[in-house]
Amino acid sequence: MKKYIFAALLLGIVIAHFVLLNFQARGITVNVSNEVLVNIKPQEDLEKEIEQIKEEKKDKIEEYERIREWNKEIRDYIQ
Amino acid sequence: MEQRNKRLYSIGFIFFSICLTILLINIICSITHDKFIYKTTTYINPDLTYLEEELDFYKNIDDKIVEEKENYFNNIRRLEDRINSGQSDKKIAYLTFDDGPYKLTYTVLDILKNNNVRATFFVRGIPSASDRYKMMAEAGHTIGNHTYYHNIFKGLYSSSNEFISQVDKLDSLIYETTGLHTTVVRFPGGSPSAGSKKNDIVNKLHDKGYGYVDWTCHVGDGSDSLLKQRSEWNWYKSTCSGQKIMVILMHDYHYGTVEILDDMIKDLKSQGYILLPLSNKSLMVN
Repeated sequence: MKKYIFAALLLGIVIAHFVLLNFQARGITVNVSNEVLVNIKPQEDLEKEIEQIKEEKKDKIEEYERIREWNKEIRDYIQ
Repeated sequence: MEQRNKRLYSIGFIFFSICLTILLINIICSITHDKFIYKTTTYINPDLTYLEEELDFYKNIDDKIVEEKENYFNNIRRLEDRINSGQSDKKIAYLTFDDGPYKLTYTVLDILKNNNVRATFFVRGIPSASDRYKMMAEAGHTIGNHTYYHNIFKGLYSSSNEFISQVDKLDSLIYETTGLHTTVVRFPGGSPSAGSKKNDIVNKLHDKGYGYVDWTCHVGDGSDSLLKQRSEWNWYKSTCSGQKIMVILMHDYHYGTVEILDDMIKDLKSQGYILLPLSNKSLMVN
């Protein structure tokens, strides 16, 4: 009987571990210990945030690209 | 057989109880973590670091613009040094427009834009011309400081403090309008107009991080008497030649200048000149 309980316990831990991994992949905050909280940002969230900020700062990004282009021109003259 | 089934049921029960308990604990912890977690660590998947860097770049785009502009003017200075030391056969022309903005400034800005050229405008303080200040800044032209009132004969050069206060006043207006500070000053009438006050003014300008610039050639549009002698084009051709690095003085209130501007830019380009905006890093700025 003890053997079976032990096996069930092990199996339970393994399954719970996979459940945790699944949470992490979805970007859900997971309490790993009493002191450390691990927060994984999923790729889709980052990509969405980048698109949003690109839209918000469109003019600034264009300005940066322009100056970069002028700078490249001068560097070409220097070489 | 019954006993075996019972055992299997109890094992299954224990197994599912354990799974369920662990699952519930984790869900509760996820929802209420703020209440009992002491320290938070954000973990970024190493494979996504490039996305995180991209995000940081866009978040700090204002700093990146300032950094890139610094590099740009540093590179112009490097080019000037190479030209001066004979390591480069390039030539630089700095187009400068004094006393504006005026209505004609719109046309000047259009001509510069059509030729993909950036120049320097030494402006006065005219709050109603804020649209033109913004246009200059957005197009990448340098906005130079020509003092707020430009009152050469009415007290501008009465003391160095008067001059500096007008430089500060104009800088505040430009900063409020464009978010940019002025770094290069042109004395109204040229630096000799300051007479005995010049050294004192220059020292005070340097203390504030300003440089000043005069000009090395002009189109004669600053005085009617000059234009009686020669046309704008002829002044340009006779004074702006044979210089590796030159600063051309013009005024954006003068129709004759606007009329020759397009031809002048094309002529300069055909002679191999690169047309650039000034900064206080330039060799031409004292």
